[in-house]
Amino acid sequence: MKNLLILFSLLCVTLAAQAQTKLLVYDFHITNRCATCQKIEEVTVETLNTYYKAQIDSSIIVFKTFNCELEENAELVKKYSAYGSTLVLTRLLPDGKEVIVDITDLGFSKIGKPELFVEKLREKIDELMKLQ
Amino acid sequence: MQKITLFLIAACAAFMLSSCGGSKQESEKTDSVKAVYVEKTDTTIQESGDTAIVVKKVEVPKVTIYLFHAARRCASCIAIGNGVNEVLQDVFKNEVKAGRVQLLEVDAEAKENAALCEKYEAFGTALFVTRTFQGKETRTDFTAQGFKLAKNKPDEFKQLLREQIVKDLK
Repeated sequence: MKNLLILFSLLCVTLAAQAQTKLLVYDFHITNRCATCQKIEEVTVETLNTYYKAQIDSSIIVFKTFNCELEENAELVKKYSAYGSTLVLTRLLPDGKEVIVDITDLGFSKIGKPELFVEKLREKIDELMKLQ
Repeated sequence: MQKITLFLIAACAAFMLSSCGGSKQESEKTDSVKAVYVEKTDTTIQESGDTAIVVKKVEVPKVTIYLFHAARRCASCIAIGNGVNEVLQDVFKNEVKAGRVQLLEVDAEAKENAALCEKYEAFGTALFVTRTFQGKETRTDFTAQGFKLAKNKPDEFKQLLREQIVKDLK
């Protein structure tokens, strides 16, 4: 009975965390990753931890990486058309709708100037977080 | 009488031959009037003996594909370059020959390309399809499609690129 209660509490905590998630930051990559792709992930994680730490800690913003060449990720890959390196933001709205913004171009074309990439990434995140 | 008949037949044959030659010249003339890329629309008059030919060069849109890359290129970046080259060779061979479509590969790390990189804000790998017409430039950022599709879904990437170029050439 005690075990059941613990399990139930854990489930409630997980569901509550999921329910309040507002933004998904998904980073897709191929198996053999290049330096640019790795740098994009590194700077994205750094940006989230620097400017959105509270939201990351409380799962309001969730960051995940996926190997797009693995079968287990096929469904997600199809959803985002992420058959190669892809960086995508998904805003989860209270009514259940999703706003998807693909920022792969930002990543690859601006990462040579990381400060510019960070600036643009923050703009996109702030813009999406304001949506009601 | 027989001589007259022979003369008439010869005259008719000569007339028909000259007519055929005339229409051939006409069709050659028509063939030579092709849409070519010129910097601006221009009309000139060429005089040849007693005749004057009005030559009208009409500006048509031009497409330039800019592929920015780092000095050390990764598999995805190479796949993008291969996809672009295949589309140009397989679908736009004539347009490339006429100068209407061109690919410019730009090393984004080379100093001499700094101004172009700044203009396109391309400080890594980027792919742009740029249309130039009547002094105006419109560009389509194809970087995301390139990285998402070129390596693992090359046919989809090439199809999207082909559609964009066709649209921009209109």
